[in-house]
Amino acid sequence: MSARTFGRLSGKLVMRRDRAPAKFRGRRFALVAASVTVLVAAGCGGSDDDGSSGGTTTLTFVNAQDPGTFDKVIASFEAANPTIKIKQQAVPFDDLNTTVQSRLGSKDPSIDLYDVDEPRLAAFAARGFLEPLDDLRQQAEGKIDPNALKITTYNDKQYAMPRWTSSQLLYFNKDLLAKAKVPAPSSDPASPMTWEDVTAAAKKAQAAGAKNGLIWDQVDRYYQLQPLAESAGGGPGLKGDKLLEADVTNAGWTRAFTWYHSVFQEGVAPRGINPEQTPSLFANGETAFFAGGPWNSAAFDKDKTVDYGVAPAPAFAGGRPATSTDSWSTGISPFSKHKDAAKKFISYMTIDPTGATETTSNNIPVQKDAFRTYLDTLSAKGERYKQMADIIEYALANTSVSRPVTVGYVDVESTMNKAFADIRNGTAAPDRLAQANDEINRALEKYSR
Amino acid sequence: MVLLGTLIAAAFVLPLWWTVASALRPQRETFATISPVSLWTLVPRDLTLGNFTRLFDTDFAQAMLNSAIVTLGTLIGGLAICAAAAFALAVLQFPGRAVFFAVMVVSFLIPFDAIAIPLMSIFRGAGLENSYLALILPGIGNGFAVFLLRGFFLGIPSELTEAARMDGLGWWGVFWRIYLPLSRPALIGAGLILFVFQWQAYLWPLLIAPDPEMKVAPVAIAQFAGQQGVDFGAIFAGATMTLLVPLLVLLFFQRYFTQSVSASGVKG
Amino acid sequence: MVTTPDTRTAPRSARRLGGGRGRRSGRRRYGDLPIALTFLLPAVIAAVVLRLWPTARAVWDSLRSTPLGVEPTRWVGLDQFRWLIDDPAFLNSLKVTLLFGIIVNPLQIAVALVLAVIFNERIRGAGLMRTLVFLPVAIPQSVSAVIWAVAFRPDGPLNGILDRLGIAPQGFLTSPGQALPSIILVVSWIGVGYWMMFLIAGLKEIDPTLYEAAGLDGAGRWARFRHVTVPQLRRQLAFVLVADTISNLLVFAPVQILTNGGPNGRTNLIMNDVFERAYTQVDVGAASAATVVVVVIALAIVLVQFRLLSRGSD
Repeated sequence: MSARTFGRLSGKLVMRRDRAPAKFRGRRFALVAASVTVLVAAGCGGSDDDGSSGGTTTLTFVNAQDPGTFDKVIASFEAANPTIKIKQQAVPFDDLNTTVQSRLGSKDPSIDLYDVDEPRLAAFAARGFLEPLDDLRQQAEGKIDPNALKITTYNDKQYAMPRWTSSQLLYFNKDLLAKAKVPAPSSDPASPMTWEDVTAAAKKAQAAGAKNGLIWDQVDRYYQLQPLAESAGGGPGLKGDKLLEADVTNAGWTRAFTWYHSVFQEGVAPRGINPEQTPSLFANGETAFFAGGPWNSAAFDKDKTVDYGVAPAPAFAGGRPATSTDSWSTGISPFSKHKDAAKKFISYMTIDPTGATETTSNNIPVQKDAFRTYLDTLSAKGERYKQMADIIEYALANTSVSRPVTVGYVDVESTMNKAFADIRNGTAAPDRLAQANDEINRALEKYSR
Repeated sequence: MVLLGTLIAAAFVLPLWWTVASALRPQRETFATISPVSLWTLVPRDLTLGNFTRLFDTDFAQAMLNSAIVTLGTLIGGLAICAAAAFALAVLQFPGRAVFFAVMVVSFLIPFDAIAIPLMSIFRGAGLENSYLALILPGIGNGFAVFLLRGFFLGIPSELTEAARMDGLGWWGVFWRIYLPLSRPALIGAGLILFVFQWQAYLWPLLIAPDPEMKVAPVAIAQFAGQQGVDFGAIFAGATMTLLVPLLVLLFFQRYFTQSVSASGVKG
Repeated sequence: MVTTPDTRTAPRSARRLGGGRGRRSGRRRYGDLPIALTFLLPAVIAAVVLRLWPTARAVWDSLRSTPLGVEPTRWVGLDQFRWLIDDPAFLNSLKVTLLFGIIVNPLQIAVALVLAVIFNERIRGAGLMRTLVFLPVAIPQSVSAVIWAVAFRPDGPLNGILDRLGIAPQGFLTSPGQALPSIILVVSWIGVGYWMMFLIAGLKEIDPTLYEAAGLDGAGRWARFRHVTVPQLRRQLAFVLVADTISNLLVFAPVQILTNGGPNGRTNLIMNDVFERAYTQVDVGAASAATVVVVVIALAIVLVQFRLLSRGSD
């Protein structure tokens, strides 16, 4: 800085000081700083982790559902139980497991109930993040689908109450198939197309102008791709009595994912599209086949751009039909101070027919009465929905394959999701599956270390 | 030069323009127009405010307010704390100065997200969860801001300080009357650092302030990516709102940015 | 706090006379320690409580193991680091991070400098323009990732533009060779405007008479940039160099959302690896060990940079 600048600066300095004594200004700064601190401190509300005041218990329910999902069930539960209030902490879907695990890991007592992704239940239970609910299990016997109760059991203890399940089907674009003179797939739940036929039909549709032949809803996620291997006889990808040994290089896995690779390699399915964006490919009317869940229909109906039909989820030629299943359950934190009130709410939400129906939203309830109500409501919406209801009912009873119940599920899922993405993007399936096999074994090693 | 500048600015802003355009049209149109590329990729044909309606039907307004409160609190508290520390490190002579400087440097080398879990235990132990204080505190002691300000303060000629000290000015006076007024550009820079840290904050708020009343804007936006479908329209509308605040603030502060140090010295 | 018996008796001005930085002479033992502590303490306490203490916890955790990520943990000591180094995925993430750092840091600093010089010119609308260039850093990174996920789609707008220019479509995020450059593009789009702002602030400080003098000496545009701008900007460049390098070492949100480290691990930056160990696999021990490795690398980088910078300033 030049001497000239310095002169100007000190001039200003002198001029300024004439207005206020230095000491006072310094003190004023301290004052401002102090008042800011007070202000900030005042702005933060105190937290009541205890949750009960004046005879009312407030339960904190952590979940990742769309806003409004639980409004009805909470309102009617609170009306019947005036001393219990339910407060929801909605977390973005992708962050639910992260935040719940981190908070329970530090023994956060402010979570009473939380949503448990069913394949993660074993790990949560093994970590001591779930309160056993065997008394609720007694009540649920005969009222909730036994498969759902089984999947929420770990080491013979009930650790969460299942709320919903899920299933898979094949959507097809009627116009694109008609243009290609491909007959529409049958909606008979017991006679699914083969993946080989779907590929051939998809190619014809593309030849007749369809931009894409086929796309999955969750292109690189274990949830939707496990059934491919299961259908080809490959099993869930894990073996051993505790399911802690990788098994993704067997003939079934290799067949299924060599085919999956070729579908993208040949351009029947488009590469490089995130799972979030795949439904828009079908909703836009530019894709012939869409493998997804019943929930996808809401988005397709909203846009009304596409005239679509539904068929059962395909299987490999000579293989057995296999469909994804399971969904969310609700469990109680062992650090909760209001376990009895929490049980009351869970019981109402999952076992009570009215409560379970109020909780249905656009999901498939596992409570038996609520399930009937769901199917009836769906069927009443029209011909296509009647077909959808039949397909769902049949698949849940006959072709559903659950994800493996093991503490190591997360390791398998995150490893396989990456492998699926690589195979889709062009890496040869046998090599990538061999690599994934090693990675899974390495990750699972820590459980026996 | 004007042309070059315009082209560069346009290139940077193009993705954001598309975001805003997509906030103003139905989701179907957004995805229908991405290929082939045409004018309609960037211009909404079927103008609608529906995305904003859905956005504000949720508690997004509250979340924006929370983000603003947290960011503002961080700016005020953080600038005061960081500038004071930088002043001590740059101007004052005392034993152990190198150690204190090292502490500040090491503090910005630490990946915040990786230590969020132990930090959460500390905050929960202090009963701070679900409070503005819990959201603000991790942002205020910013080593980068201290580092930036210290560098700037070192460039201010010590003759100024000596003259002022001879005139009987205390250290607080030197700090408040000489260093801060001369350091406007650096303070704006430090403000940017603090601002970006909090405006982008995601994981920490999720862990320490999960109550709906305490939600911050990035978390509120992420909630539109549900498991049964993603509401891109609402996400883009939310992003548009998060753009608007810094845009207005920055345009306002441009005035100070264009002043040089020497100029700010005379204008005062 | 340490008490200094001397200061009150000495005349205030005398205490500081001739006490410019680096030229202190005859100072008393504690110097300005009490007053320095009042200035420093809030920031130091914040740094220690909010950063260093949890890091110390991480160091402790890195020496212990727990298969499920919960108590009780058991002592494993340095074995934790051995397991980490034996893990090809972790080694790969170190390699990817190194490659990323070597490309992204010089690139971002050079581009930020060029942009700063351009937008420092007295041109109409410069204020608006640089605000627009800065804006990408203001939106949540998750949204930035969504925008680029659309842009990079094989049937997306970028390939659409290439197509108009007669260039064959590219794989971008799906291509093992192009994924890392694509990530570099995204983080640079977010970061370059931010770093530019600091450099503009530095440019504003340069005394215009220096350029006038250089102009009188017949220096051209490049010579003035080389001999006036760069040396005068040294302090700001040093800040940007250090801060940008560290920020890029800690990048992970765009990677996590756009590629999750793929294809074939080509974009698995180290923080993505740490994040996955800590939050997905809940392997606290391994995550802490990986965090320690990141901090040690960052420390090494900064020490080297400080050494180079202090040598350069003589």
